[in-house]
Formats: sequence, structure tokens, C-alpha cells
Amino acid sequence: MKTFRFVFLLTITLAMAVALNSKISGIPPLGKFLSPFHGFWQNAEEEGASYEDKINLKGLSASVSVYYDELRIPHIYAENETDLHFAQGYLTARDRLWQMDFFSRLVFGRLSEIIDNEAVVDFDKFNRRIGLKRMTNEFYELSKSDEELHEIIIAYTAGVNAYIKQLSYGDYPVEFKLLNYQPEEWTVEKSCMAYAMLSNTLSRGESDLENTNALSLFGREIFDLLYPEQLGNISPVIPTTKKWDFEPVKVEKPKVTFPLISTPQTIDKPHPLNGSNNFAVSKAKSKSGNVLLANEPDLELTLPSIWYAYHLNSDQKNVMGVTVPGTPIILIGFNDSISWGVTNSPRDQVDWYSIEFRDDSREEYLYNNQWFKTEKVVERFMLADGSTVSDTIIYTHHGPVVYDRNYMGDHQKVNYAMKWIAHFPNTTFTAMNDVNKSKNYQQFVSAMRKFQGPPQNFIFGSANGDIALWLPGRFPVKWKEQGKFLMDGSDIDHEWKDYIPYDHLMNAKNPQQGFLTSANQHPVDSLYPYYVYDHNYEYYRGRRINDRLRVLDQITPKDMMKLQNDNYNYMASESLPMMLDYLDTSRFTTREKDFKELLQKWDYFNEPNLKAPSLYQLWWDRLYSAIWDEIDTISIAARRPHRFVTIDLLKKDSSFVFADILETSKRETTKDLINLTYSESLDSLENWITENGDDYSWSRFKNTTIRHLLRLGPFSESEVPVGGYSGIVNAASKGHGPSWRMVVELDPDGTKAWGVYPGSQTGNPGSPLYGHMISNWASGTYYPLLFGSNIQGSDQIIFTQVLQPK
Amino acid sequence: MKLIIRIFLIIIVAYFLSFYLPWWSLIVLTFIIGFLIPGHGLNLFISGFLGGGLLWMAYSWYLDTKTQSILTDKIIHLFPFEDGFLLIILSGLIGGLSAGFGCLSGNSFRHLFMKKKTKSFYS
Repeated sequence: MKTFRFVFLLTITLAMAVALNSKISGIPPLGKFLSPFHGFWQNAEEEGASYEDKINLKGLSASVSVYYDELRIPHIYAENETDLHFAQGYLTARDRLWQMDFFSRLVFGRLSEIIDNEAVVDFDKFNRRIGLKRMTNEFYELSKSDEELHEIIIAYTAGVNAYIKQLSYGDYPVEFKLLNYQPEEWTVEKSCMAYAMLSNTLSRGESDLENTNALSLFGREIFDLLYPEQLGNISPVIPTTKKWDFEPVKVEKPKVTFPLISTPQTIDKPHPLNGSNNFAVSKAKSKSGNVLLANEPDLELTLPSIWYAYHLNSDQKNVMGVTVPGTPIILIGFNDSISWGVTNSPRDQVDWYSIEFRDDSREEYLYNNQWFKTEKVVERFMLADGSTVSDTIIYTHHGPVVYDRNYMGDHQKVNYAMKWIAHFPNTTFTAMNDVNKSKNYQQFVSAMRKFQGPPQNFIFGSANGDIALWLPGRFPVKWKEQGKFLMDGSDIDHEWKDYIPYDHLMNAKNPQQGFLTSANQHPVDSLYPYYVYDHNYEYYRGRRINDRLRVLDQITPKDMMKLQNDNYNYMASESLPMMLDYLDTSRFTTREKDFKELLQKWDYFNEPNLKAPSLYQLWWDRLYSAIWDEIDTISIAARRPHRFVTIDLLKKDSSFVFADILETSKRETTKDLINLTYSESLDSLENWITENGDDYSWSRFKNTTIRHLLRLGPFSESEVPVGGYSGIVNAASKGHGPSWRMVVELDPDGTKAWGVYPGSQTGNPGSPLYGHMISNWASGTYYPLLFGSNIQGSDQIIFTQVLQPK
Repeated sequence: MKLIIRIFLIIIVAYFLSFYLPWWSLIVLTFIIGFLIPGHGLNLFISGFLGGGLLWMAYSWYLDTKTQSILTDKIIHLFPFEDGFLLIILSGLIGGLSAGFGCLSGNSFRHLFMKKKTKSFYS
């Protein structure tokens, strides 16, 4: 009896202990998670700086001083590069370890190990198929040839591991506890992940298969009408005054036909709203006589933020700026002599080649009338439930066969190999490391030679008075429309043959106009002697920035900030007057009349407190969808034409054929459609009001949300009171926007800089500082960034820490 | 009296051990205390429940107050509840149950070794 009682009670106790120690149907292990000594309670932080004065670390060669300013940016002063980056790794891990782990799992296709969800397994397979893991491993191997960079990577990795090693469960970031897994060792390969991550976000965009579908469906004439390569009034990145005085590498369009295979479904593309603005102003146009520079990358708005800010100081460099956590090199920033910033330069970097396999074994494929061997790689995925799945990826000399019978291809013909320039060996981080240390234009330009992508518009300014724009990268010399459509992988004529020589790359320096800008628009006008193509250029932000800088004079850093936060809706200014003109007011109700007046009085600024922008956006979205209902109903992959093109078509042609609504028997004209969508949008506004209340002012209506990476509501911030929208310089849309705003004045007596980002240095949702910069970011208020040779004595410093060798 | 001794012993020893050992050290500790300081079953459960429960509840309450509920308010919204105090109660409950069953098992383990004595009682 007693034995039974003991066994019974022990069983209950052990079962309870095991249950409270395990994650059950998505709920974190309650014993671990709720223990006040170990669980989430340990992640809650008090107000004030809670850093340790002294930390002893094995791996340092000398003491490193770290000064924290009010933004908690670490100003790291080390005697040498190794100690500097060791400390950088350690401190980044302290503030962002979970985010680093999450990013590395994304890049290596290992998220399914920690998240039990079928869609996540598919996401991992996809990321391995497009090669993020392979690229990263190869990137690391190649980094060995640059001794300096390689040592930085090793030191940084060691710093991250020094932090991880001393953690116990109670110290884990709260996301580890929620998902119930442990931080694992950081690796040198992981320290290289930013290259694949950024390429995936910035240079993977394309529409080749959608183009092929549309071409075969609509024919050439309508295709060119809906997807023109250039329209007038584009205000390119390189000022049109630039002369190209070189002999271009010759390329002849061979006699080829594109394979017109229709693809039912295509892979996910990078978000079309990823973009950025940057601009620099010459000495002559600036009030102080110093060069001014501004940059802001518009990316997905997340918590923890994509960026982490540092000031790095060693015997080799003195540089400040931001980088992606997990990456040792500053990507956007300034030093005592120069400043630089980047915007994405859309240039079709991915081409698809249709592959013909010899038989079902897929061991050989046809190329140039011969059979060539494929390479097969089996990728394994360990799932959260303990099981393993695998996926076989076939490689051809073009690249990985991403679409095949196991992925997206539902009939035999769909076997497409991906040729992506990001897969090529590159020295992009060597270039960035050199930029960090550049003292002048010459050094910056020689760093640009090593930058092979993802293609960026590099804005440059120096204390000695130069401004410049460089568009470095690896670009194949293409014949007209090469790679715009699916190509024939067996035909040697479809291959790229040469690359644009470095000396022929686009750049501009100290132009007459006194400023340089870029905003993801067309890089250059049609006089550039090479074929340049992308499916998604920006048409509005660049024109607004150029309009403003042309008229502004005596420019101050304040003006630069104001321009970064400019809410002028160029698109509304070019579409709303036409839309209003078409309205038939003869039978208008009072409501319809009132709203028309509201729109008529609007000055096209998307200020957060105005109501007109909400109404305009609602109407435009409705109109745009109604016009392209033809595209949406197509059973194969297709994309809607650009809104700039749409407005152009509407203006040119009042009997525009796409104005017809498919569902109705009547043949609608542009006028019908505009009137119809106007009253529909008023109805839908009323529905919105019923659900959300009377106040439909723009920021409430738009609801800009900075989402936690796991999309957890309580860790996210919604209804951020910010104006702007996509296509507006202040590009804060619902989930994308300025992820780091920086303005720099290159004063020869000491660089001055200001910055803000929608987040916080700490990634801990339990910190009072979590997301603390969001409100200033929303209102366009900048923080002066502490920089200079003598910051030790500054009253901006709130805490001093010493890391010393153990 | 034994009840109070057990409760205090659990609170004090578990408090210090918890900084070094995993959360389930509470169960091991209460098992040992249940073994060393015998008593009636219910009595033991109550001492464990109160000792572990009060410790976990008080300490989570302390951390919550010290940090102005910054994380409590976020975590509770991950679940379909509103009031962060529920998490403090739940923590107490889990600490209490773990310690209560720890004590009970420890006590019943002790009874295994008192076999001889009980036999002689019947004979």
C-alpha cells in the first residue's frame, strides 16, 4: 500500500514536472516560463542604465572602454581591431541575441527547427533553394582571402560566443523562453549572413515569369503598353547632363525566341515597397559651406529593428553608423572625413533559364546540343517535432533549379534554373570595410571597385567638399530584353557573355546643380550606352526630392531633416485632379458633395492629422483594383501595371479598355469607373467608421505598425502617429518605411550628425527603452549623434564601462 | 509547528537555491524536506503549497512592482486575458503545486522505510 502510494505520488509529481517543463500546443513550458527566478519575470528591466562597470572577458588582449550615450549607442574605444570587433560582437549579442539567432536561422533555412508550422518548413526549403545558405558559406570561404576582414569576422564571432557562453536559462532573451529553445554557438559563417539577407531583400526582385505569361497572353502591343520600360519625366539618379565618353562593350541581339511557357504560380518576391532615399548637397548650396548628406533606407519596420548603431574606434578607424546585428561592418554611416549612404538601385539581377532534363532521373540536362551532368544536393531539415525532411536541389551551370517537380512546378515543363548575380563570388564586405576607413573621394572610389552587389546607389560626401554618387555592382552586358523574360537554358545565345567594365559604371561627381540624389528610380536616361532594365522603378520620391533641392538654397541640416520627412503626395497631385474632373456631380447627394469638397481643398500633403489623404487612398485603391480586375482573374501568375503607368494610361485614353468591369454586362468607360469607385469608396469609408470610430485622420486610417519579428501583437507598436506613405519621401506606409534616418554635416572641424530609427538599441520587450525612439521618429525629431575625438568628457555620456582581459 | 518550520525552510532554502539551480530544484528540495520533516499527508501538501506558492508569488510580485509591470502587461496579452495580476497568481499556483507534490512524494518515500515499525504495530 505504501509502495503504491509512493509510486503514485512520485508519478504525479514527475509527470507534473515534465509537463511544466515542456511546451504543449504552443504554450511555453509553464514551470520554466513562470518561475520568477528563471522565467520571463527575469527579462523585465528597471528604469535607468543597468550595465556592469567591469566585465572580464577571455579573448581580449587589452582593456576596451565603452561609453554609452542617451540612445544607448555604444562608443567602443579599443587599442586594436581584434579587440574592437570582439567587444562589438559581445555588446550586440547582449542587446540583440535572439534577433541574430532568428536571422541566421532564416538565412540557413533552419526556422522550422524552432517553429512547428508547415508554412515555415516551406519557407526554409525556399530559402535553401534560392541559395541563401550556400551563398553565405561561400561568402565566408572567400573572406579568407582578405586577411583583415577575416580577422574581424573571427573576432566578432568570438565576442558573440563570449556572451553566449556565460548565459543561463534565466538570462535568455524572452523569445527563446517563449519558443522554448536555447541559444546555440555563433559561427563565422553566421557573421557573414548579412550579405545573403540583404541581397535577398534588395536584389532578388524580378518579374521575368510574369512578363512571359503576360507576353503570351496579351501579345506584344498590350504588353509594352502595360509594362513600358521608360516613360517620360523620370528624373533619373544620374543627372541627365552626364556625358558617357567611352566605347561600350559591343553586344548584338542574337536571333532568339523566348520560350513562352506559362507559369501558374511564382515564388514570393521581396516586398515592392523596399526602397530608400539619399541626397547630398554641395558646399555652394549649403548655408555653413559644408557638405550635407542624408540617407534613409525604407524597409520592413520591425522590432527589434533591422539596424543597430555603434561608434567604433581603434588604431585603424573611427567610424559611426548602423549595421545589421550579426554583422561587424558598418553599412551606412560616417567617419571624421567622409559620409556615405545607400539606396537600392533596381537592376534586374535575376534571370530564369528553362531546363530540359534528359529523363526523370534528372542527371543530365540539355545545353548547346549536348547533355551535361547536373549536380544534386540533398538538403535536410530537422523539424521542431523531432522528425527530418529532405529536399533535393538540382544545380546546373546556370544556377539552382528552383522551380521543378518538387517545388512550384506542377507540369513537366516547369524546370527553371535561377541565375542570380548575388550567387557569384564577391568582395562586397571588403569594399564596405574600406569605405568605413576612407578619408577622401579617391579612397572611396577604389573601395567601390570591390563592391559587387546588391546594386546600390552610393551617395558620398566629404569634409574637403566633394559630393558624388556611385552605382557599383556586377552587371552583365545584355542585349535588349535579355533576361526580361524566361530564357532557354539549352541555347548558348541566351547566356550572358561580358560584364560592364568598372570604368563604364554609372557615377556622378560634383555636378553643376550642386546636389545629388537617389530614390530607387531609373538609374540613368536612355543615353547610357548599355541596356538597363528593372520591372519596378520608383516614379515619385526622386522627383519630389529633386524639385525641392533645385529651389532650396542656403541649406541647413534642419532643411535636410525636413525634406526626409516631406509628406507631399506626388501621385495624388498627378491623379486626383483628373479623378475629380471625371465626377458627375449632377446627381450628387450632400455626402458626396461634402467629400468632393474635402478632396478639392486638399494640398496633397499626407499629414498625419488630415482626413483627405485617407479618402484619396481609399478611392485610389478601389479604382486601381477595379481597373486591373482583368489581371487579377488570370489563372496564371501576373502582376498589375505600375500605378504611375496606370495614371498615365487613364489620362491618355478616356475609352481605356481595361476600365471595363468584368462582372458586369455593361462596357464601362473610364468615367463610369471613376464615378462608381467614388461612391463605393464612400461606402467603405462608412464601414470603416462603424468599425473604428469617427476619426479617420490619415495616421489612424493608415495604421503604421512596427511589428515584432514573430508578429506578436503585445511586442509590436501599432497606430504610430506618422504621416507619409509609399511613393512619398517620408515613405512610412503600413508596414514599411524609413528604418534609419541620418543627416550628416561634414564639417572639417569635426563631423556633426543626427539620427533616429523606429526602435531601440535594446531588443528586449521587457526593457523600458524598448522602442523608445519611435515617437521621435514619427514626429521627425532627430537625436544629435555623439561623435568626435574627445567624447569621454561629453555630458551626453550616461555610463562608462570597461571590458578587460581575463 | 512543523508546518511553519517546513514553510519557512522551503521559502528560505528555495530562494537561495533558485539563483543557481533550475526551477525544478524546488521539487527536489521539497521532496527532501517532506522526507526529513514527517507529518500527515494533507499537512505536508499544505506546507509545500504555501511555501512554494508564497515564494513564487511574492517574488514575481516583487519583480513586477520593481519593473512597473512592463513585461507582465505584454505577456498577459499573449494569452486571452487582460489583467497582469493573473500571471502572478498563476506563478504562485504553479510554485505551490510543484512544492506541494514534492513534499507529499518525499513524505511517502519516508514511509517506505518505516515498514518495520508499522509491521510491529500490527503484530
